[in-house]
Amino acid sequence: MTKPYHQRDHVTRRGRLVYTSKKPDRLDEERGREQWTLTRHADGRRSLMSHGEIDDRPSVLRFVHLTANADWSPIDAFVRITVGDEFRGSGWFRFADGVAECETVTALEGRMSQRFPYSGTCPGFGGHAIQNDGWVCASVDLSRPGEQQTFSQLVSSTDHRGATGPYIAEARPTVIYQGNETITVGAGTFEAHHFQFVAVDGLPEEHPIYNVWTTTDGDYIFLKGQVDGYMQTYYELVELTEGL
Amino acid sequence: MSASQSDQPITQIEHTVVRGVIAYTSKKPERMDQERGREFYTITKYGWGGRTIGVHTEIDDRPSVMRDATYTVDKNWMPQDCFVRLTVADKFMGTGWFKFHDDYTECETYTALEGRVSQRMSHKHGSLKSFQNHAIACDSWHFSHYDLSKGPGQQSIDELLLCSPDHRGATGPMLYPLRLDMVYVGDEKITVGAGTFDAHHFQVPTNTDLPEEHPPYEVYTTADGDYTFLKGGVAGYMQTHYELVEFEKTVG
Repeated sequence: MTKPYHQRDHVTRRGRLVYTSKKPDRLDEERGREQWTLTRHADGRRSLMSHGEIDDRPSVLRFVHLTANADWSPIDAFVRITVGDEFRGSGWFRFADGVAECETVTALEGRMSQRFPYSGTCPGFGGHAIQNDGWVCASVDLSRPGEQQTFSQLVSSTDHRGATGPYIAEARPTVIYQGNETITVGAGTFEAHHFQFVAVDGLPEEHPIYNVWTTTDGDYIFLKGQVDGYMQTYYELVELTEGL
Repeated sequence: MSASQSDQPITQIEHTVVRGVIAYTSKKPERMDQERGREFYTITKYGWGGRTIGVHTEIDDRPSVMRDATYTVDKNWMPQDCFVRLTVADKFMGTGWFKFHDDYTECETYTALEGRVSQRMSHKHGSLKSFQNHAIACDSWHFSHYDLSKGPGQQSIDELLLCSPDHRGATGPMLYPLRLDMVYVGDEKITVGAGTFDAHHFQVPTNTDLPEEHPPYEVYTTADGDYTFLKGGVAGYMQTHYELVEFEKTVG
């Protein structure tokens, strides 16, 4: 029971994703997992804290923290990655009006301070947590279903697995909002937005088509997703815990 | 692809992962055993012995404190880097990143009160042994630097850095130096919500190096070398109790 000396103005949600393969020789084999905590504050700000593990050699372990305003413009982020069980990088990002900054130390580049200018607020940030991919979909205009929409995002790595950096890079995904549908995943049955990433400019290698389904409740919780092409990876929310 | 690469399994799992939940309760007579906060954490222990914790903390006592921290130590429990983000009374307080070098620690931070600050603090006693990010799960890690071979008694960490000198860690995050005294009482078997464990029993005596004197703090950790926080309590004006209520190994 909440007493007057308590203050619980926020909402906390926790989730667990399982990464599997859709390659014929590894069909439905678990190849990674992700556990996250989402906090939604009374003013609409949201924080995501995620721990992701990709088992495929070389393994990738990633801690991601991202906070965004109610309009989804990012405020700050942190990314720490381990590749092949060895330290790869640890970096802090701050997104001010007109400029993003990054303070990072990586195994390959050493200690770096970056400044990346833009006009207005930062459009969005991708730290390569799968749940973060759900938040990228918040940049899509839902009033334009079926249209290709291209927008800018800052990312912590241009590698498809996010296994470089972390540092500031820019990517421009093209996404089609395919409409809503009811889907069932391990965590339950949900009304879902369906998004299709058809291209991502700015990456050194072409990213295969990526279908993503998120909740329609405003939190853009990643429900399931599949990457085609050479990756043939599948991601599904298997647990969702509401409240404290 | 070389022969040695092709011979390797397609997956690589050299680490282990544990997850835990710590419940915060009060021991004040009028609030006896009422929940007043909680902490969820994930610890990855790498194959080479280092470990990273990602921890989400909620203190409900008004003004509420929410803290997310990601902290890494090497195989000798020496700090490598740390991220801390603070919300107080549901409002942004600060976000900062700490990097621990051999001779100095740097802090890059942005706080509601101080704005954008870059700090660099030279170490007075060599490499930094421990960092206080205020997660309860990490309080027990300080005791990894107690030499148990010398038996019960008192030892010190001459130089500890904190992300906040506030008892609840509700300022900054910015660097603050401190000396930490540690008392090893002995070993015992204890039962907490997460199970029954062989435990080391430690104490942190009253600390007068802080702006406000911190009451004595009892801490019980696992005796398996991982220094997992099992239970603890702060006396004096705080009368708080912390207990591990869930613990599971998920990978490895």
